[in-house]
Amino acid sequence: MMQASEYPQVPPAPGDLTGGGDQAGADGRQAGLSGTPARLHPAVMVIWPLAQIGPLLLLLVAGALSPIVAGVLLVSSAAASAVRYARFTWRVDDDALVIEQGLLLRQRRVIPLERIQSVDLARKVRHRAFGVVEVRVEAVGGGTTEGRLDALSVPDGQRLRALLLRERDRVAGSAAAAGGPSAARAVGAPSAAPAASGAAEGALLARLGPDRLVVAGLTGGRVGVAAALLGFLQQVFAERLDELLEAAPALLGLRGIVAVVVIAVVGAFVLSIVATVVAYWDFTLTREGPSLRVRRGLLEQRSDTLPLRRVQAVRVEENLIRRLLGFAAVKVDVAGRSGGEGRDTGILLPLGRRSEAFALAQRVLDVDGIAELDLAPMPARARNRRLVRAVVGVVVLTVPAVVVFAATGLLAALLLAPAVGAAIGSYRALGHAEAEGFVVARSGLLVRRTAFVPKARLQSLALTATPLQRLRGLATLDLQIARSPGVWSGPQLIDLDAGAGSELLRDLAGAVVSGRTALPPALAGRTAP
Amino acid sequence: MPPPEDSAVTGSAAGTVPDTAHGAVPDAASGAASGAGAGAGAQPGSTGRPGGPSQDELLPLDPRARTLWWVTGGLVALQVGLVAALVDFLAPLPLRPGVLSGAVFAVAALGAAVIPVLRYRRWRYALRPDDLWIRHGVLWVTVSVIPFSRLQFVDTRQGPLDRLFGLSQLVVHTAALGTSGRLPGLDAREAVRLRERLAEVEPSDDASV
Repeated sequence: MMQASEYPQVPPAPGDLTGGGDQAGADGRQAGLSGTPARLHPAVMVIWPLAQIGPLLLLLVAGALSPIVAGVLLVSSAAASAVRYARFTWRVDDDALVIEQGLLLRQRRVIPLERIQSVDLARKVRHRAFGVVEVRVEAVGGGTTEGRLDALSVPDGQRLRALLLRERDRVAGSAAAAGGPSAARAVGAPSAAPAASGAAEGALLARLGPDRLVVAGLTGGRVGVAAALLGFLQQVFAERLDELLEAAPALLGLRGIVAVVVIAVVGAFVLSIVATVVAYWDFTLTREGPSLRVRRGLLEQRSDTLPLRRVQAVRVEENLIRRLLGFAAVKVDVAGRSGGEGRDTGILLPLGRRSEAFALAQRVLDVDGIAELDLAPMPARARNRRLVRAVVGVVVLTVPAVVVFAATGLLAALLLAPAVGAAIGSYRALGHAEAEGFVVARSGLLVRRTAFVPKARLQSLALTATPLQRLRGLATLDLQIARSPGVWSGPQLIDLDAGAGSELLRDLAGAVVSGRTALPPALAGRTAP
Repeated sequence: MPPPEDSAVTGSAAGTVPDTAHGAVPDAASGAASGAGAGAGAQPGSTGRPGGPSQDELLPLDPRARTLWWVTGGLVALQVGLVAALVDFLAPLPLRPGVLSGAVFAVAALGAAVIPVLRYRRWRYALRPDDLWIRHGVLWVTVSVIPFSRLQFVDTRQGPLDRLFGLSQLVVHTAALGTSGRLPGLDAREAVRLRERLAEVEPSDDASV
């Protein structure tokens, strides 16, 4: 079932790294792995300058840069790259990944193995041209990528990843008295074994065909982004457009306007589809030992590891359009993921049937029946609150409209229907449930999110009531977890009955304090108590 | 549906008089009236058992915090008044100069005088053996709980005005995004003592993320 792909072939061939890292092969190419300093792949001397060509080209085209200056810049950049290459070494010690670089100011970065959270491989087009791979090492608590090796040969990159992940498990395992080092080794071992023998470890969880990618592009948030981009372009070329319209009177009039709008809309969708296909081409989610692995990408190919024990919450997301069509996406919050390059690494399924999405969430959490839980609605007061808000909003809009436009202003009252619809929809989106070790929180009208939050992952709790909520005896409970920054506001139980919210706050806080919050085994990893 | 007085943040049944708020973090100032509501879930001296803090665990901030807020609020009111005065005297308004800026300054000054009082009365915290409870907010009332097993680090912060009043802020962080809990207006020595105490708390296993 696993489609053979040139890259990345993980796990690596057996025999390469069967021992501990300290005794890994005598092969000279594995110098960095065996503890002696190693260089990057020489191709990096071309890859670094290539990374700077984009802005340079832009400046050239814009006429802000003479070709001579550009040439000088490029040559000096290449020279600097050569020096940087010569002064850049990396190695895996007994207990750390050590990266040293810098000509005058020598910089030495030591990333202790037990702090490594994940090791990702990525290949941009320029990497693929040279058959190399970029290795990104994310550490716990780091805001950005802590260790970055811009170019290694593909086999080296894969070996390094396997070694780092295995050694991390070994170091952490021998530190944790409970599990014992042998147990940790057992967990780490399958990742070094060929996929064929360890079907359970390399289990395929999800895969996306091109048809699904097209649907994802059509229904995803990228359409909005693409539309905004087109709008911006239209602004930029507004004058040209006017000239064009004057020059070609046939284009003027209703038909011309319709044509422009249709072209813009179709263009936005096409852009969105292309962007989605490029980002998620050949999307494959597998479980390999204690980690999930996501492979994807058409131009830049990526292979990301998501350690299950770092998963803070799993959520199913349905935007309005996808919900009407019966589609959903699955995402996870993984602690320590940076907002930059790791922005969309938490996606377990860009698009699937609703049932598939919930089944996947359940499979990742490995808790029976959690996806089929009936969520309890919030009190009817929450609905009334929304209805009042909708009506008041429309009235506030209509009154000035009538004052300004007289009777025509009454048209603003037509907004009442969609406003009331939105109010009811937003109320219906609310739901919550408690299951063994989990809180399930659902909310959101435009994007309905159903979050599965393990109680053991709660960091802190906050119960907030606005003045209007207090009037109706409602409150919102924030389940604060170590989520990824920016993407969403985190799991919330919006408009709980205030008394029930208070009780839940006490219960959950008590559970966290007393440690009565066992993680489901799937998420516990080896350091489970 | 539980009776309204069992709620942490809804305030009294009428929801109009914040200072008689009952609940998980009741207002100590309201005395016996709130005892019934808090009693249900409270476990005095609790060590890890569920339940909100009890009456005698709840502490107000140092009264100097209120004075500090008056000072900062007064400074803001002055700034606002100055900007209004500029507009007032420079822009051609159909009003006698001084009317607008006077009104604006009066409102700002009233806010600066009243808000610190309300805010101070709402603020309560309980430092218990295993967790920290905080209730705050004048309009948006928030009760937050930070279990010590989740603490990542603890700061004390002291601005120039804080130093003037001998106050300090205690800020606790968990692995959750942003600041998890903040206690402004603690006596500076007390803040340092708390910081040291919290720094000794051993994080639990699953606090690692």
